[in-house]
Amino acid sequence: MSLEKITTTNIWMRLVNTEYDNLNSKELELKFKSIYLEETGELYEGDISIYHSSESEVTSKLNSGYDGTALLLSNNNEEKLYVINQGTTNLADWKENIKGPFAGKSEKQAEATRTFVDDTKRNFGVGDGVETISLGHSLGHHNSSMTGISDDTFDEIYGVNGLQISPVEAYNYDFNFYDAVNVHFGLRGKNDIYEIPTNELAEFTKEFYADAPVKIHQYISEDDPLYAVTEKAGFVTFGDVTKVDTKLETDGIKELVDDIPDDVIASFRDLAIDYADADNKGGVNEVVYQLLGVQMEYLEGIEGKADLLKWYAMHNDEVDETMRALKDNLPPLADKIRLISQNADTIFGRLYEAGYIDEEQKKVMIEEIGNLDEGLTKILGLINANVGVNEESWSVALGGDIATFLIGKEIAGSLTESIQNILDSGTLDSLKGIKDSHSINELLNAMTKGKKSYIGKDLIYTANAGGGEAIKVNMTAALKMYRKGAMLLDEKRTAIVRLEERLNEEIAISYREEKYKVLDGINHIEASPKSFAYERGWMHRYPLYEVESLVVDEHIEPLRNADMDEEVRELYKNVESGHMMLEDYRKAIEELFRKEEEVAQMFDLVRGF
Amino acid sequence: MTNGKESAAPSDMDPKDLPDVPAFQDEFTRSFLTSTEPVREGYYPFEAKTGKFTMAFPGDMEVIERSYTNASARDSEFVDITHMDNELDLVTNIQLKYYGFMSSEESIKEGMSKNSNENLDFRPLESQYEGQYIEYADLTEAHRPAFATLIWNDNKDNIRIFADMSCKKGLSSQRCDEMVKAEKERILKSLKTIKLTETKEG
Amino acid sequence: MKFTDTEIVQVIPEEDHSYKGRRLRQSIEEIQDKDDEFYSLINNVIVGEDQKGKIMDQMSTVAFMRKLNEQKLYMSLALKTIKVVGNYSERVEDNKRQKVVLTYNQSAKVN
Repeated sequence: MSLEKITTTNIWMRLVNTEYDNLNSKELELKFKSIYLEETGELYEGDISIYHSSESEVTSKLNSGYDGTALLLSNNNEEKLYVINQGTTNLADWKENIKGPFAGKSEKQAEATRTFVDDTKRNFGVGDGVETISLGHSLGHHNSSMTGISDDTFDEIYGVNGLQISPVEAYNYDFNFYDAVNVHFGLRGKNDIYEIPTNELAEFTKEFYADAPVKIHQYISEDDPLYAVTEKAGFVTFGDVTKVDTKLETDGIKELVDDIPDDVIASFRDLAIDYADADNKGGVNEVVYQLLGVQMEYLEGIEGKADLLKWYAMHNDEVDETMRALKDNLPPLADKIRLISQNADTIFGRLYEAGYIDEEQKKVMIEEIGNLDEGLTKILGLINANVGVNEESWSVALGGDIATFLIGKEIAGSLTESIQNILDSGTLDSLKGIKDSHSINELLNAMTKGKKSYIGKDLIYTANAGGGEAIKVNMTAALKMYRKGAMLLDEKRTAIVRLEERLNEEIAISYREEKYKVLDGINHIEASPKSFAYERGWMHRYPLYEVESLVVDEHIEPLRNADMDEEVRELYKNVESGHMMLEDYRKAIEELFRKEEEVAQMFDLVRGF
Repeated sequence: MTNGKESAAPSDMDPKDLPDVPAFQDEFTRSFLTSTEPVREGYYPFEAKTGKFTMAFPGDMEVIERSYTNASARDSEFVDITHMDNELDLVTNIQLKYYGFMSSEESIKEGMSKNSNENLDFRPLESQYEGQYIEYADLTEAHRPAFATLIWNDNKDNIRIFADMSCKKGLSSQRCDEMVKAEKERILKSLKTIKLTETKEG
Repeated sequence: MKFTDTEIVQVIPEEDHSYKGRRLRQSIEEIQDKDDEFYSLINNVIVGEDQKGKIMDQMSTVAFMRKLNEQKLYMSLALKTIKVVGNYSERVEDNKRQKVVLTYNQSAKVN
């Protein structure tokens, strides 16, 4: 067994995928061992130490949302530090990835990566010389690459669907590169960098870093929208790149992107991201809120002018909020929609040709985007003509209540109708497939041949059980059940033993003790019968008579009908049959995959964790 | 409603009433300046948007808006300061990066050395502020005269600075050397006024 | 002249033994918890992982039968606990009450 296998098999990609689950060290160690077994058919026998960025004082203090996990693996005198850099952990990060101008935000993330690696080495007490390998996806890969090419933080970098390097970002991050660019392009002031043509800058960047000692290995899906969009924006790809066609049924997204003007791509991208955010929370109202900042609940129930006046009079704060939101959010939205509307035939035509949407969806989108464009323009006109927002007093001056009415009606009416039609057409769901191509899973599956595939974080085996029907077995889950099931049954047996002990203690032993206490009491009475009789007032109960002797008629019964032997026997029997059930399950799966010897071996080894 | 002119923020003032220097004439740069009263001649009070540091800002320079970034989480702010006029005999660029985190100042110095492709020999300068440190190193391998400065405090707040200067083509090397020397003095003087506002207790 | 008299003596004070029931139930619950974990594990594989086919059908039938059986067992364990502690308590308290035989004789003083 050697550490080589971590990066020569699918182990590393699955590890990166697993890091998104934010497991604790113990769970991650178990997961690592499971993945290792599933991918190699062998037990990982080396040492593992795990350190998460939240444990690191210097990075946990960081507000950048940096999230990384370091694994120090050692085996047979071999020791390597693997740092899994988490890419986008939430939508805010995802937006930061691709939305808007690519500014210095990721620079901070690169610095955070460097700081974490530094602190990890200190924490593990390993020297600077330890071979350090970065594993990352998306933004995570990007952060490692930035610091890897410029300050040797990593010896090797493995990336899947990584965000590539922007030359301007490198210009800001790496003074050495900055200096070289200035000489090469004859720049004096730093602001002049923006005058250099993107392709020339990209070319120089690639040349400049060609000799960087770090070895970068990338796997990129041809359908990954992030890659398509960023390459077009002049981002530079480093290292050896394995491109994988992950969606055979559609053309690569890159070709599609190439046909659509840059500014349209940018607008479309921003809208899609806003939609995705709203869609997570649900509903048309949320979409409108995300796009326009308008709370649709405010407008519900407004049907006539009287309602509107009432709204204006009674809920002035709501009116204010709505109009201010519209004034801020509407113009940029209208611009984006206008751009898309003007290019709707190209965009939806290409999406249709490429197989992402069907013909009906194409028709609906072209029509409704047109309607949206028209509606927004109308509202924008009304607002500009009638609403003056006074920044000082936070109030909205209305040019006339009829204007408010028309604005409200337009939003509540035609806009929501168009949005509803777009949602109903399922186009956006169809387009979600584009986003999937950024995932690690799609790429893992495209790269994996034969009986194996991946669903979620799990390894799937597919058998042909004859009759043409394929049977899928989630091997990750099966192995987990086989291992953990046995563990639980053992724990159950221990619990039964504890019940027996308690029964013995609380009933049998306790009964004996109680018996001795009684006998003790009897002895005590019989030892001084007269004083006892005195105490009780029996001594002179009868005139002229007194107690001559006192005898206890000792009567102690053995304890009967106070055991649970039969039930306990039954409990033990159940543990046994539980183990049988697991074995039967294992046998059934092994039977299904007779030809795959590793299946039996995995079952053999999985309980050795 | 309007207050006295003296206390108005420069960003609220009529451009005609502002000092006639690039820093005030540029709207973006102006948004960092807290008063039109110079701290000393030619330098104006500057406050970072994260609120994490202040300095005396040279009036002849400007902040580049396109490369400016500050994190809403207030743990970083990057400010590029430059002479916008490329026809000047000497153009200076100052790349100033505030970070609210670090593993150690040694590690930052190492990173700055790697980023300048030479082993920077940092030397301490006298700091004006208690609990705050400033070190300086000349770059010898760069194509232009340049130097690095590191400022940090015990709160792990730190500012990493690279400054470089370029003389106009055709300027005699003697004249260039003289100008660079004077400019370096001037910039360092400004950098020494940088004050990290959060102390360890804060 | 002598005669005898009998009395029932509470040799040791009465006690409440119901805490024993609580302790036994606690032990039984620990066992039950392990079963619950076991079934949720199996359930996750069967339902959560969306596995279909003969193996899973068989597995879920076996699991279902087991679970029924175990439910019956836990029911009888609950009843048995009441019975065991009841019998124990009754017997222990019984033992604490003993019959005392007193023999009286004419007192010497009278003479």
